[in-house]
Amino acid sequence: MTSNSISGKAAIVGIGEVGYFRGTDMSILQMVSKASMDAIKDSGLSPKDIDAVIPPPGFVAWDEIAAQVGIPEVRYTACPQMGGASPVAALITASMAVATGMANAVLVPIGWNGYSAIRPRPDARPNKRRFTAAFFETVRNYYAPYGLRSAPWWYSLYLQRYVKHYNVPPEAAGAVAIACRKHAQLNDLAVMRDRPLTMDEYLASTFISEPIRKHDSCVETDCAAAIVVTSAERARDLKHTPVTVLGGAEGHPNRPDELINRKDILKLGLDYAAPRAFAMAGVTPQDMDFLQIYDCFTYVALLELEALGYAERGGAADFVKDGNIELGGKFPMNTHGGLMSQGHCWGMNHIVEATRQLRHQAGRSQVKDCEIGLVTGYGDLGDGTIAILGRNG
Amino acid sequence: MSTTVKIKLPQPDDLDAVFYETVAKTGKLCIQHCKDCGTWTHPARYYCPECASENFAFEPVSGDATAHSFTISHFTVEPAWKDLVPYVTIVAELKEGPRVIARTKMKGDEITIDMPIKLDVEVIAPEFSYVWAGKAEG
Ligand SMILES: [Zn+2]
Repeated sequence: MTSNSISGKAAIVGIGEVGYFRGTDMSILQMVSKASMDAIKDSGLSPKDIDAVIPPPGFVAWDEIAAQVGIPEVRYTACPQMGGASPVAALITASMAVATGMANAVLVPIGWNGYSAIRPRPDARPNKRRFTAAFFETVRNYYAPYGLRSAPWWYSLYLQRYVKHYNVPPEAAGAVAIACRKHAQLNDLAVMRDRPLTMDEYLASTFISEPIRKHDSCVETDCAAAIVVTSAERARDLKHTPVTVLGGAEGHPNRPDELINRKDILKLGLDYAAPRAFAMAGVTPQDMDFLQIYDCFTYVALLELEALGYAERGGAADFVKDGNIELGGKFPMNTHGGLMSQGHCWGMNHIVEATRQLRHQAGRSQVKDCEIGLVTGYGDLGDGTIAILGRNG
Repeated sequence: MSTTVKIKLPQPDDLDAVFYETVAKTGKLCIQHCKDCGTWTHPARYYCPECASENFAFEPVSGDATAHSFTISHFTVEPAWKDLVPYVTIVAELKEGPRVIARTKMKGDEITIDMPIKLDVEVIAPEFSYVWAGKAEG
């Protein structure tokens, strides 16, 4: 650990999770406000103690969040813009803010209407809230006119090379989908609770765009979640066992704003970020008690596991088989069900779950006596983030 | 098989507009070419990623390429594409270096990774042209 690192200097002290809905009457701002207030209350702090807000990269802005939950003085804001890699990036930025004294307590919420935006109820109020990203220009100019409209179509452009060049069997992706689905059976909030999935069902699932099948894709949900981050020192006097940030990093493919002109189209942002995060924490991938992996698509999760060092490129199939990534296995992954089966909260649900695990409050999904684990983020066109979290530090 | 698709045309700006306008004007696949170091870049950038030069022109490429990757889309929510499923899209790597996305009339099972292909363009409008990939001859 270098002296200027954030390792051990910040902790997650509050979590809020509104739920995962296939349609809700709550607006995005309402859900984000509730997640925020729940996280603040969970920490034992009051809105008056919060002095920084890191908003999501769309839908709601920092100032309306501050106004809704009654934060009287905001001293710091920032907004990582990297889609599903944003929550972990926000956690890192929040950690830097409290480690340097720029802020005392940072609220990091996210939420959206991932279900209702696509299937609004006939009587629903019109939703004006949007998410935008610079790479949308690339999509509009170069991908969408080819019938490649959104994430499964874009990502399939590079994932098919992964599958064909390395002979990645569909059963490897299936193992990820099934592990997430199994874990969702233990989670009261999971959308896919009571809907188990077998390998035969997975393999019979129809293709969206090869190699991505329907069952390789996460579930669209309306949801919001939030965390509160403060200094490790302050965290000691608060309500819960602090969950300390031991290491964190972000990384981005070159070029970040388009998918296909990268020298190695399978090299994710996480390939760049992971070694830096492990070095900062002074630990190795083998030390992890659990993995909360950003699982927008199963094949992306396989590439992330390889980027983290659990397998050589193309070799994740061996790592995910025989229950290795299921509860009871060596590296339980997405113990809440993940984006695949709990719900798509941009990976903030992964941070919330990691925090519950390390507090030893994960109920039936508890990884016994866990002390350390990691959370990844993946967003836009391959941005990658990672945080390594520990109990007590 | 009909290949006509009624798409919403993009409204490119900056160098993306210059790229498409050049393709439409010449009827050829033209890619940004650095006048100082010879690097071909796509999508075009104001500064060459290799030498930081701002001297460039859009120049025709050979059309010789390989199928770096591809996808077969079996499902779409877009009415314009519904009659065309399953449609195949190729990530074509030009001999000159850059990769472009291309439509193809080939079937998915006719394509293998890194096989040689030949690219051509179909001008749709000043602001958009399709790149098409076919089997490389001989
Ligand atoms: Zn140059």
